[in-house]
Amino acid sequence: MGMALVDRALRADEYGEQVQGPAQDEEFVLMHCDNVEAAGFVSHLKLPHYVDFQAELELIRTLRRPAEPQAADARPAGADSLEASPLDASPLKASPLKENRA
Amino acid sequence: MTASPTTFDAPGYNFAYLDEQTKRMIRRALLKAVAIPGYQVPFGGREMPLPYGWGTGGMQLTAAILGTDDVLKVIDQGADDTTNAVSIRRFFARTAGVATTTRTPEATVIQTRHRIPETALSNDQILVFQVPIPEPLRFIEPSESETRTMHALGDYGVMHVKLYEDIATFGHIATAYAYPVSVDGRYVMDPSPIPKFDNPKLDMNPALMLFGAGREKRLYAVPPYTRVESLDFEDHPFAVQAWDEHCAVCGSRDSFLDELIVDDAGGKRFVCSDTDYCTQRLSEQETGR
Repeated sequence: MGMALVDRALRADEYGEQVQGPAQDEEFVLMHCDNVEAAGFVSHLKLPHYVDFQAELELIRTLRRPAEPQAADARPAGADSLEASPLDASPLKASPLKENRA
Repeated sequence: MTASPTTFDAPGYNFAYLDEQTKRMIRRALLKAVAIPGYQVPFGGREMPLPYGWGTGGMQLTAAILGTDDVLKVIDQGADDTTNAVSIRRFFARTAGVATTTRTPEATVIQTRHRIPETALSNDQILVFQVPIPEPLRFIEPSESETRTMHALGDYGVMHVKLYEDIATFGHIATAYAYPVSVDGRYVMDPSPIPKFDNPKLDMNPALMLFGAGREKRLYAVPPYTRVESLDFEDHPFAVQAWDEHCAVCGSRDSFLDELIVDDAGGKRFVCSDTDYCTQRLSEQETGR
């Protein structure tokens, strides 16, 4: 199935499609598949990756840290923003403008 | 079979699995790699009896440099007792008859996946890295001919743009492992997916460091005492990971810690990822008492 997808991607020229991904690049595909085992990068994911994941975890926590104090600062400004989390704040709900009008 | 002059117990196989011509070819490539630090040298990769992504590149390098007197240590993510490490160690014990160890100071050749040992290395040791993707520019430029030209011209602007985009989007350089380095002020190199915590250990390391990518058939090297700088900006200097916790087993505060979830309530324990470092510290503490 994987090879079928690659095969189709390589025919981009034939179908007059724009070549924009590495799977459509003949050179790239050959370099990665011209051997007996084109088994795929996926098989190595069976190996442990906890060191990499730990590094990513630390990074994600670092990225989140400064966001929290900012969010805390923003809260006192509008009383109704206490309930609305930034994720579910739809343009209709977040209505400081409406309230000002009212 | 009985006429075999060798001491290892894998009749029919050459010493360390690969044939002598292949080993010679890899050694020639290695010499070139050492002469041009950080440059990716193509080599005629052979099929190894395990799938790509499991250390075929590192194993071919190890096979090429291994001698009968060598003492081999193999680690995977810092640990001596994971499947990959155990299998590769047994493979060379059988096909080369070399002595193996788990103790870092005793080893002459250390093959590693994704970590540099915490214990400082010496100038009579060789560290062999297993590399999945040798090209640091690959995620930016998919074409091999383009990246080779970029390396030749020292055209690394895109890499800095990538790091800058991270800062613009997230406020930090969002690369936690396989953090790009500049070797001897010339080639930008992928240090294999070691956490950036290990990057400072590459700089001026007394040990020879060899990198082998089996699928891509590329090898590169960092010779002993070579300057290796992690790419950064003046106002966003490179910084390594740090933990508030210490190792639950040996109490180390300055090693790379893995976070383990130990119960259903999300309880966590932090332990050293380098198992040998942890065991050594523990035995020191026990004998010290």
